[in-house]
Amino acid sequence: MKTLKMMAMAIAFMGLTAQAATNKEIINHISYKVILATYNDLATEAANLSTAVSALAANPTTETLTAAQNQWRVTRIPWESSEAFLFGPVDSLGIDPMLDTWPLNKLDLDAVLSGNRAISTDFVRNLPVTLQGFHTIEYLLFGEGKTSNNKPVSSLTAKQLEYAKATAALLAEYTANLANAWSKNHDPEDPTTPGYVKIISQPGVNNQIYSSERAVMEEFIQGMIGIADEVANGKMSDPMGGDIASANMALVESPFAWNSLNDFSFNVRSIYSIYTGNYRDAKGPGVKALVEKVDAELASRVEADILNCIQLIQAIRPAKGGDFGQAIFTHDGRARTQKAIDALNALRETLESEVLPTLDM
Amino acid sequence: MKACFFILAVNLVLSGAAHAAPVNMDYVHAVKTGGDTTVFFKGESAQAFRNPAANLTEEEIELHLKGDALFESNFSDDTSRSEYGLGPVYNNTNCAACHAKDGRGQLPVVPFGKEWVQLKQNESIFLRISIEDGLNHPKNAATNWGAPIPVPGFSDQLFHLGSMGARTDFPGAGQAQVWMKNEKSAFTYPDGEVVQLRKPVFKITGAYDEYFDSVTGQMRSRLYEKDVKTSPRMGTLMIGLGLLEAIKESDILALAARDLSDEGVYGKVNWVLDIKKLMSNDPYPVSMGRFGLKNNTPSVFHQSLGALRGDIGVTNYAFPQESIAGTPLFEQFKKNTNYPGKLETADEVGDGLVFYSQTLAIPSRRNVTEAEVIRGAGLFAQVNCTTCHQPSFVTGPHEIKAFSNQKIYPYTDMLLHDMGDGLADGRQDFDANGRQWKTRPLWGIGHTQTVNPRAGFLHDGRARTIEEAILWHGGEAEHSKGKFVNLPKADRTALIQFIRSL
Repeated sequence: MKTLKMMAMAIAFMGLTAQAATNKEIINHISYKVILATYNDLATEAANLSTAVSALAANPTTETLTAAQNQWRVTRIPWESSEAFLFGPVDSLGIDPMLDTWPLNKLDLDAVLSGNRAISTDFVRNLPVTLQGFHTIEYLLFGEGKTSNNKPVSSLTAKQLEYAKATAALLAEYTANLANAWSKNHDPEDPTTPGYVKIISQPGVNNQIYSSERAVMEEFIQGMIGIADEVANGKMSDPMGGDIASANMALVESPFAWNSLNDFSFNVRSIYSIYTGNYRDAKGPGVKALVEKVDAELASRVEADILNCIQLIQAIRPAKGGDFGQAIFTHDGRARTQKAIDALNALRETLESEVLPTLDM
Repeated sequence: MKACFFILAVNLVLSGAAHAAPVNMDYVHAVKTGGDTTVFFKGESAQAFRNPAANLTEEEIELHLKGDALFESNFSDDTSRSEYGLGPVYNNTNCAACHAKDGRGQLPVVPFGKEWVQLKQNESIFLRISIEDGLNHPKNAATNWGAPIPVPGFSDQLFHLGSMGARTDFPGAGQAQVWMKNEKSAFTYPDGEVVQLRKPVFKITGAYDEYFDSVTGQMRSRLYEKDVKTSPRMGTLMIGLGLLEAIKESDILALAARDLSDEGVYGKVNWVLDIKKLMSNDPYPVSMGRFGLKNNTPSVFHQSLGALRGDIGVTNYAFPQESIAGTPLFEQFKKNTNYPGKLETADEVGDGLVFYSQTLAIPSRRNVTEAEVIRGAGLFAQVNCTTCHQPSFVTGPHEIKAFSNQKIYPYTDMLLHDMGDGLADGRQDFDANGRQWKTRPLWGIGHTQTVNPRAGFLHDGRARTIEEAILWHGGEAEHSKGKFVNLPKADRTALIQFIRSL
């Protein structure tokens, strides 16, 4: 309770400081202190994951497996925290599917693992996207995920370790490319192109991608809308299905590590970062500063709604253990899931019908 | 103010475009590019192409959203999964991979220090293939109504990816490996300004039937023979397709009948196989081509379900046979796996994808009151871009009511034109010869790189900017390009600013 009160005070304080911010200041802050900072964190943590998985492969013990599992979870945080801004190089360099395609194709993975071929990063690079990225590593590190997310180290085969190591190295390479595209050179074929952070933070008539500050602000708001919709109506609704009989574990994201609810929470956290401008120890201004100029009540209501969504998502966690993938097979878990879905849809609706129009007020 | 615009428009007709094909100049100020389907607010972001048409009914929006999920979902080769059907050979695992955020694709990155790159996962380009025997075939059942002739042992499309059971010698590969490099050149304007151009060039290795020929000392495959024609195809915009379908055939025929010989322009219709007519036992299943880069399909139905079977390998009720049925690769695949051999997707999945593809909205035009944009709009007619990029139509009836009787501004005449040597692929596609391409609709073009910053223009994505795309125009467009390149720099810029406003 005390924490909540302190958070509310902090929010109120930030609201005051953000109020006077111009669109230019908001854009500059979000571009550098939220988006670029998140991608830099992602590259750093993915490199750490590659190191941890290599250490596991070299010396498979319970300790090295736990360290790799923990680092997988840590690396998920900046990635899931980037989903409110899935635009720019993550699309144009085709990086998103390489990192985060799900569901995993276990059938094909088993076929590769049972073959005699040596596994290298270049070998994995040429395999389907459903055999690369976070969820392939997750499956290898955590196991099936249906009744447990605690794979014994003894069950890891040499081939699985080889594959996990190659895939983690590739993940680190892709995230480094992504951070580089945002910070230094957004088209790797053309060394004269600036980092995407410059493209988005310097809109104007001669900017081929964003002709105005309004366009960039719209991009930020559309990004928030997009991920609110995706979490509610894709990531949660699709696996939940119409009833318990049609619930589908195979459609759950991060089912092996039981990390789905954390994934969803950090997705909403990315909405919070764009909205407030707060990411780790960086403080606003964010989109809220724009809304405040028009409607202070709306500005704080949206912030409260975002935080409420995170709480409702975390509340889905089954009391007896497990994660989202287990909750959707129980009546009360489904009821809690529906509450979170409804809150996210309401947030999306508010962003669409009330926040977006403030751009033109 | 309105009166001023009107006078300006009239002046443009009288002065600039005096000898051009007659064109309704109301496009200069038109904002509702897609008529009542136009979306106004959600325009200028990476989500610009992702909205349903504004005038759909609630029930239709529900259908659209269902299709949206299907468009993005990954098909799998795992028979136990509901999304089963991928492969055995394919170019991508989902629709959105070639049409990222419903926009255009991009060429693979060629990293510094590398010349050739291999087409891997998630590329938005593939090669069409066929053989040409130099004969003029009649359009009948024996010639598949004039369709390109598949390469024996392959198909009419080269699938560079494959399921695990497809190529035991190279997991993940399909019929062959495809490589790309960029050829660079420079264009110099009469005023001395230089623009760098690039063009992708492709080579094929590792074909599944490849063998070493000790006589020639080279690797051989049916695919490497001289009569095999290849043509790269880049994923295009998904917006406004239902509206293009609703343009009256008579209006397109009237455009084809224009005498534009003084401009060197001869627009032509492509008459192509219509799978819907074939399914209903029509004795002559041929229709006007409207979709595909050479107008080689007649409807969104044919185009979408053809791509579902072709690009992703998912058989459906319109295309029930695998693309590579009857080839040795497929026979081998069947031996290696438990291929179920039945239709791989439910009819409603196919219908959902078709409906979604028909109903994506056109964003409204931007910056229409800016003086430079208005000036550029006039120049667009003055240099005769409007001859082929015909600005407007009024649509006829369509099964989706939202698309009927709409005044739309797609900026295309829906016809094939000879585009010159620079763009020629040398490959016949129904009535389209190796130099002819369909006039691309320009609506939405200004948002293309907001949606995908590396999106490339033209059939193979070679042009990185609208200016590069203009400079590649040749053949029937030579007359217009000549006028464009001789404009003062400020006018060229204004013209491009107008195109960016679309």
